[in-house]
Amino acid sequence: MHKWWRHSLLELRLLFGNPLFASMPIIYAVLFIVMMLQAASGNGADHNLYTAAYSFHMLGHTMTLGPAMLIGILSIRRDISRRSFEWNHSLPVPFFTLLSSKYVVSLLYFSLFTLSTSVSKGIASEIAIMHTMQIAVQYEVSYMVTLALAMLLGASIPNRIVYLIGFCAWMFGTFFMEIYIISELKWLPAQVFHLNQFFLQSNRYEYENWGYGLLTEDIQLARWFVLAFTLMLLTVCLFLLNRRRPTMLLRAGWVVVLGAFVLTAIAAVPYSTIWSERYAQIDNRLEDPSVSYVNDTEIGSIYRVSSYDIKLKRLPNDELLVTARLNIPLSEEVSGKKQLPLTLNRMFKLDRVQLQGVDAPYRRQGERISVSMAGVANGNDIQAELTYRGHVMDFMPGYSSEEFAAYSVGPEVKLEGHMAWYPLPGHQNVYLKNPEENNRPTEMYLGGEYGVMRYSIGDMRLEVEGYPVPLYTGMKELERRPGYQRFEVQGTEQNVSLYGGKFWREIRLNQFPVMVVTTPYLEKTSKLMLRDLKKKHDYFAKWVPEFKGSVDKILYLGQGFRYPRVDHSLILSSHQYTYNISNLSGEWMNSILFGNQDAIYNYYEHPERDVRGKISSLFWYVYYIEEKGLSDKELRSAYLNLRSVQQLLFKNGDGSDPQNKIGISMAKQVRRALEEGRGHQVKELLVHFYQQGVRLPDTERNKFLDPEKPITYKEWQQKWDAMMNVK
Amino acid sequence: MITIEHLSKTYRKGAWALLDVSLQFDKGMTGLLGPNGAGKTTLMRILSTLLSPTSGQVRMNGISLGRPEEIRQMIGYLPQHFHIYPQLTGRDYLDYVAAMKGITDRNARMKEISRLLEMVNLQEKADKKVRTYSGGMKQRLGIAQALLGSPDVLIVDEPTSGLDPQERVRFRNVLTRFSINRTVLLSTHIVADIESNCRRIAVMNKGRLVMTGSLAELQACGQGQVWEAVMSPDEFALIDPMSVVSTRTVPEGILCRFISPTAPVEGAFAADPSLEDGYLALLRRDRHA
Repeated sequence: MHKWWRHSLLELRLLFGNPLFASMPIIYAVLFIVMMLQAASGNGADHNLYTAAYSFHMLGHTMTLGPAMLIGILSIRRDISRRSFEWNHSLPVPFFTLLSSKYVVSLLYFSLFTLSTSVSKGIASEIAIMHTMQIAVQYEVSYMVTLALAMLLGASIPNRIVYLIGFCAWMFGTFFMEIYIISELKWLPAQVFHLNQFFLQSNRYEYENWGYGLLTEDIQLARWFVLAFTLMLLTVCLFLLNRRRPTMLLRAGWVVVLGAFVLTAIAAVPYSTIWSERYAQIDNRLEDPSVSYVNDTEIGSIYRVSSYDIKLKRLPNDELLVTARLNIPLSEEVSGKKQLPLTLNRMFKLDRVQLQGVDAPYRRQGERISVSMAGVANGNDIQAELTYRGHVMDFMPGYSSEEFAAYSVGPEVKLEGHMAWYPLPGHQNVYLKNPEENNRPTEMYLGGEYGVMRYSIGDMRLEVEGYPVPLYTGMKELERRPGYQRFEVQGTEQNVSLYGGKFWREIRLNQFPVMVVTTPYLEKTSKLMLRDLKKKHDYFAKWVPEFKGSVDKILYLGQGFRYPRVDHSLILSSHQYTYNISNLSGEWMNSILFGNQDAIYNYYEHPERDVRGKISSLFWYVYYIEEKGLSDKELRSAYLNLRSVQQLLFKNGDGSDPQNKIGISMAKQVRRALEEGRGHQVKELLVHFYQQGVRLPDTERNKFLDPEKPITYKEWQQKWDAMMNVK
Repeated sequence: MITIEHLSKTYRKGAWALLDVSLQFDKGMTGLLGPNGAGKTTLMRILSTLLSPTSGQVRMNGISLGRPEEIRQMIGYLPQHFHIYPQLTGRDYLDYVAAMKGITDRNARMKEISRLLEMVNLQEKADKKVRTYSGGMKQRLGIAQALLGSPDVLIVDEPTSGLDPQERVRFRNVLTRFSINRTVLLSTHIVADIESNCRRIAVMNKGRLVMTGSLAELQACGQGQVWEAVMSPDEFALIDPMSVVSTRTVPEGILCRFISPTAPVEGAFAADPSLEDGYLALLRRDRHA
């Protein structure tokens, strides 16, 4: 031990005796601190210390792996590999002592870089410590494997070309691995060989929610494999070093290397099992004839479900037990039919199906369930009850990373209606596959993303039990106590989603009915946006008597939702792909004002027939003129960050009005009236149409939606003349 | 005592670096002499447990080379090419080596280091960084590290190359003192290094052991083989330069010394061989054999 300690002191001295190596951790820490301070002082909507830290680690950590590769090679070449240093080979010191000491000291040196991982400013210590520990452990694991690889290169390649090879290994193990092998070839299991686990594109660590918490088992198994692999690299390195001089330990070295190989193989089994199960899941769907091709989706007829009564219980092992009761009024779609078609995600195993309180036989193919209606008396509503269970972790290979379409892992919950986590009426396409001529399909898609899912309109009751955190949904929450929640909604589209995450925060303002649910690192910015939203809310509340939207919660996350959307009383919003991030509060206010505007772009073609989209834009036009004093030119130049001015001010219209004459003239009318001091009449006019109905839901997607009537340009003009000229 | 039996070493390319070498070294200093490429360094590296022999046996104080970890406990080694961490001071370096040799007691270590620094005349530079040392100073530091721990067997490979005459003399004296009651193996191609110190000598050429014995026996190899002749510059220009071992300008012309079994030129007269003559005559004989 004395020799090990003394050699370690020598290694430390050699490392820190080099001004470049000695200064690198300091430079790294300074860069990290500067960037974090800069990020922490930000007030923008996309301000997120966690994401800023990730961005730093994404590149910064990769940059430090270069020195790790260099120092690993150098530590072997500096003395062990040099002929002029062979005096130390004649010393009674085993190579194990030298190698282990070099390895530990190098690792300690790189731990100084790991110190630059704290992300704590303004965050509760337990949360900051949790994330910091995760990042720090990942740093250490990366340094461990990189140093071992570098030392093996140093021991196996005697020529100086080893530095070039080390450089190539660094580039291959980081950028090339991600860009080519993981992204292009989509060999996602190869992620484990990536030296920096903070990928350029990944959901693993990039976001504080639904990130590594979701992949705990995956990451743990990957780490065990990496550590076993590291041990193998080191034993091979030691073996090669021992071959350089006579030793009695060579035979034992063979045994150790063999043991390390076996250990690595054993460690690879559970990790590869996870991936083989995921790909088996995909293959199972690709080979399933009941899964339609993306270009050949047959949207079958669905029937109405007047009410759902769902009880969802989560067991400690994350298994979900669900009982769903459906009340199905008789209609031509179901009466007289032999089978009752239902759709339930295949992740759930059906325990029992009952119709009218009696067990009913059923057939199941993938998501499609056909329940025999033999013996069901005609003339009554059908009472169907399904009991099912399953673990939800739905793997979908994304462009460059693993993505999960649905999950319920501990507090991490994303169960969206289109995933059919409760029985949907009819046979629907939860999944779609790509057509490949002469080949089997290779890609899976979600029917929900392709707009092929259909939902009924009716009531829903939901009880949730066993979750360690509160879950959020667009339904009204009637009761909440630890581990239990009850929700209910009436007469709405039965597309219900459930979301949950660790450490989520509920942010409220006094006397403001809308709250934001967000993650700890978005708390600061969410408060600012909520205040901003309140200003907009107060402005519109002054002249819009009652908002049509029923939004009372905003779920604002770093990632998870591609575009802001409204799910009943819940706005789902993240800044992952949001371009007008600085006006996110405007997007939210728009949803509060108008509710679901999913189909706003479907109403462009014939503005003379329907100007609802333009009228809703005029609300914002008035806001920008009155509150911000913006000219049309300023509005046009800032349109990316403003809400709904495109339809009014730009000359690139569609369909029958390519010059957008209608939109431009409506805007001119309003501006002139405002300039003439007739703002009150303008607002009265807008409110008139607002109350008549200007929502723009996607009726193509849901035939049960009862759309509001179109407002023609002629109606607008008539009303305008009537209100503005008379008064 | 070191016993070498039928030791052979071949490298991957197939050439024999050592071929069937059998030798025995007793206590005291033994010189290993031979031209470049004779296999001296290979033999030294095998004895220092840096190389495995292809065949043959070596025992040091009864311990086989098959137990290298034990051999390393008893040897000190100074290789031909010697580098040290330039960031360290001489004292720190010796402290490190002493620790690696298992001297755990700090006081004992420091005492030993001071003694050796004085012995190699480096006490004034002991606390300077090694990067400031001259080649000779580094070589002296090298011998100090080899002597640390008072090893039973000291193996030094061409240690005097790069040393100035004064340092060389000091170096020889250090080795002579150290070789009392210990086995010292000194490899060199400089005959003068051996002449003053070694009791026994072994000559190698082309991987083989050509001769082993005392200095007198080596010198005797030149008996009847050494000739001298005074020549004019024109005559000197015509003779085979390979047969001349030394020249000296005298008033009558150039006094040339030859190694040759017969008189190399007309008028040459037999001369008494020196140790170097004996060595050269031996190599010449071996070359023609």
